[in-house]
Amino acid sequence: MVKAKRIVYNAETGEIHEEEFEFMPDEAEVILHTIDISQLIEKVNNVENKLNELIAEKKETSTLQS
Amino acid sequence: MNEELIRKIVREELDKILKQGIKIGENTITITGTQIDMGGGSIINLGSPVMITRVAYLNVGSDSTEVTITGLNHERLLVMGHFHNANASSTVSYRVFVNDDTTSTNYYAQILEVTGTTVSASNANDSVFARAEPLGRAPFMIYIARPLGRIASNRYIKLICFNTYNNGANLTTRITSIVRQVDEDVNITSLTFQCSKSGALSSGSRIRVFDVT
Repeated sequence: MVKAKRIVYNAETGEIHEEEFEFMPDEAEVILHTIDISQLIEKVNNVENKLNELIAEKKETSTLQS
Repeated sequence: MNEELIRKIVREELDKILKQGIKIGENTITITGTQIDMGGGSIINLGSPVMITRVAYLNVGSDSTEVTITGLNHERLLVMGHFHNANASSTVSYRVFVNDDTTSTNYYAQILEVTGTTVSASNANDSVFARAEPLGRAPFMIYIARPLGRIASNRYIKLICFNTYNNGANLTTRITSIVRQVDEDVNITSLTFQCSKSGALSSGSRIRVFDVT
């Protein structure tokens, strides 16, 4: 705990004063989930390309069999 | 004749003049309630206009850790301002507390942060709503509403917060929703802003509070 300064302002009366209080500084904020949209787009594009390749292969196989 | 009597007479005379309408060229403009009749069939009806009134303005005069605004009693508030972080090495976070409840775990926050193409989401049992980069000035805006739910299990003070910090390619947009469950149907009576590092709610920070009717 550290000693810190608080400003108190009363909106009704306009009165303002300072006081001291005990304060516990924070740890860094934890971000739970992060998505990089540019990477996501790249991954989706890769999956789409793979699917197109598979579909093309499938069509080729079907044509050869018939 | 005292000042009060003079004011009364002036008010009455002005009232008489306004009731006769304002003559501009051939047109007479009359104002009745929220309706403005401009003559020739042109009528503007203002209905129920939104009234925004400033109820508090604070220019933080010295490096502080917490600022409390008391003497409020409002159903809906709009808070606008910016935090100055005089700390040269750390990005700091800022919390908002309502109605003297400064226990951060009594609040829940849903946070969405965007920097470049990176989108981050988090949920915290906390009331952090803004951040400011080292030596930065970070603007913020909050809309606060008294409990909207009328049943005890759904009685929450809700806040919608916007903030931006960092600059250039690291410019960050932050949107946060915050709730605080309350036992009674209460107005907003006080607001407290607290930073995560001692003295980082620094001199030059400004907070403006508006009542929204």
